[in-house]
This record gives sequence, structure tokens and C-alpha cells, in this order.
Amino acid sequence: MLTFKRVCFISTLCVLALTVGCASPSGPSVRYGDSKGVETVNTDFGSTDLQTIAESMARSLLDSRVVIDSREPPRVTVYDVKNKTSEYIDTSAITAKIRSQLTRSGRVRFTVSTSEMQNQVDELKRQNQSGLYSAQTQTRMGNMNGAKYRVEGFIGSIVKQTKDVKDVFYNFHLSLINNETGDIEWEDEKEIRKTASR
Amino acid sequence: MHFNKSSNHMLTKSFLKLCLVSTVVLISACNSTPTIDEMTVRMRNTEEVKILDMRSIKVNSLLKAEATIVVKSTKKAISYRFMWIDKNAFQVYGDEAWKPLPVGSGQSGVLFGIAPGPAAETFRLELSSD
Repeated sequence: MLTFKRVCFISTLCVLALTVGCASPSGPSVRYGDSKGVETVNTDFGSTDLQTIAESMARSLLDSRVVIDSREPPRVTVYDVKNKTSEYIDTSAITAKIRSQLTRSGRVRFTVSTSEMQNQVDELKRQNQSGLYSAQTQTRMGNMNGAKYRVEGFIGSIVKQTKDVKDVFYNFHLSLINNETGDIEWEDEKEIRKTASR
Repeated sequence: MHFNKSSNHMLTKSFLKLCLVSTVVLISACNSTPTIDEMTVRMRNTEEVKILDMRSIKVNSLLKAEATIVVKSTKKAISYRFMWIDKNAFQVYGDEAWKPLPVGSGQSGVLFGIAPGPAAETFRLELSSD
């Protein structure tokens, strides 16, 4: 009898221990970080590089003669930035960030870019050709504003690696070109060096 | 109207006092330019960075700011950013991204910033280390 009681007690303890063991958290811990903080996980193109390049280019363009001397904010369109590095970089994220910073300044106006053009055309067609919209409110064809300038550029990199050290040099280059004359009105570049060592 | 010697002396004393108070008020009013320490926000230990001077100017209604710094020999990763403040002392245009200090250990250089828009009237330089 006493032995049976003891067995029951030990069994209960084992079940309890198992239950507690299974209920304890075993997944990865998750926490929010500073989205503007310096990120140095590895030498790959990262959030700090994206933010630094966008800020640097936007401020440099705001400080250029084209923007300073214009009475009206100049109209600019954005072309894709070519990725000449060996790694995958979403360059549209860089141009989008530059554009949002420049738009926020109120000193530059942007027209739809080549990648956004299809949506613009589709919307104009929908309003003008579907016959669903009243004549008073529909947007009319042929009134789009042409951009006087276009922004285009590239990002390149030089990577050197030994057993213990990896050195990556990024070079981001951006130009503002006059669409009518073809003159390069402004140019700037931002260089970033990242070194990882064991 | 006649004043005796003591009342004349009293008047002179009062006048001198008034002059002294006015001068002190004027000096304190003129001396409202914030110091470099007041313009700098240090987070964590960044004493390796010494700020030599700061200047700002409005060009085309955008505030440009510069700070000349010297970095003592250190292995710490120090970062910086500018905070833009409007005429009512409110922060405007949100937080900038933290940027690694472009000046190497044991070197001097200039940190440069332009406000994202025309509302910025003054700035603070923020420094942080890992």
C-alpha cells in the first residue's frame, strides 16, 4: 500500500515536471531596436548604409545651384540606380528614400518615375475611357507635367578578403541631368568603407 | 531746488546702482548664445570626441550646420547625428539616422549637416557610442 502510494506520488511529480518543462519558453527572444541605430552585423549593404547614402545625397542636392537658384522647385524624375556590386541590393529603396527626403524639404518636385508610369497611364485610362466617371471630376488626358531633370546613378563596390579580414568599399554615385540639354547639372558621390576582422 | 551734501550722495549712489543693474541685465541678455556643451547631446560615454567649434548658417532658408571635432585614440565605435529644432524649440523632421563618425581615431575633421526643410532654426549635435 505504502509502495503504491509512493509510486503514485513519483508519477504525479514526473507529469508535473514534464508539463512545466514543456510550458517554458524555448523560442528566440524578440525585441524592438532603434531603426536609426548603426548596424554592424556584417559587411553586406545594410540599413545604416542605405540611410547614410540617402541623407548625404538628398542634402547635397538641396545644397546645389540647381535647387538654390530655382524660383520654383525644379521638377525631377527618378531613374533606377544601377547595381554594379556583386551582392543583391534593392536600389529602388535608396532612390525612394532620397525622393522622400527631397519631397519633404519642399524644394524639389517629383513626377512619376518610369517604373510608376504604367500605374499612371492605367489610372488616366480608367477615368477617361471606362465611361464611369463624371466629366466634372475626371482627370483629363494630356495634362501631365514633364520633368526638367532626371536623377540617375549607380552603386559599385570593391571587395578584398583574406582569411581573417574582409574589406568592402561602396561607392554610390548620383547625377542630376537636364532632360532638354543633356547637361549634367549636379553630381555627388558617397563612399563607405566597412571592414570585418576575426 | 537745493540738495544738501548727503542727499546728493544718496542720489549718486542710487544712480550708480541703477547703472550697474542695467549693465548686468544687458550683458546677460546679450550672452544668450548657447555654448558648445549646450548644443551637444552626449549619450553613453563619448568623451573621446572633443568639439572644437560649431557654426550654422541659413542658405536658401535651409539651416546648414558644421562642427569641428578631434577624436582621441579609441577603439570605440562612435556615431553622430544632427537634431533639428524649430523656433518654438520643438524637434522637427524626426530623428536622423545615426552615422558612424567619419573621423578616424586620433584625427580631426568636420561633421556636416543640412536641415531637411525650412522649419529648422537651430540644431543639436548628438553623439553616441556602442
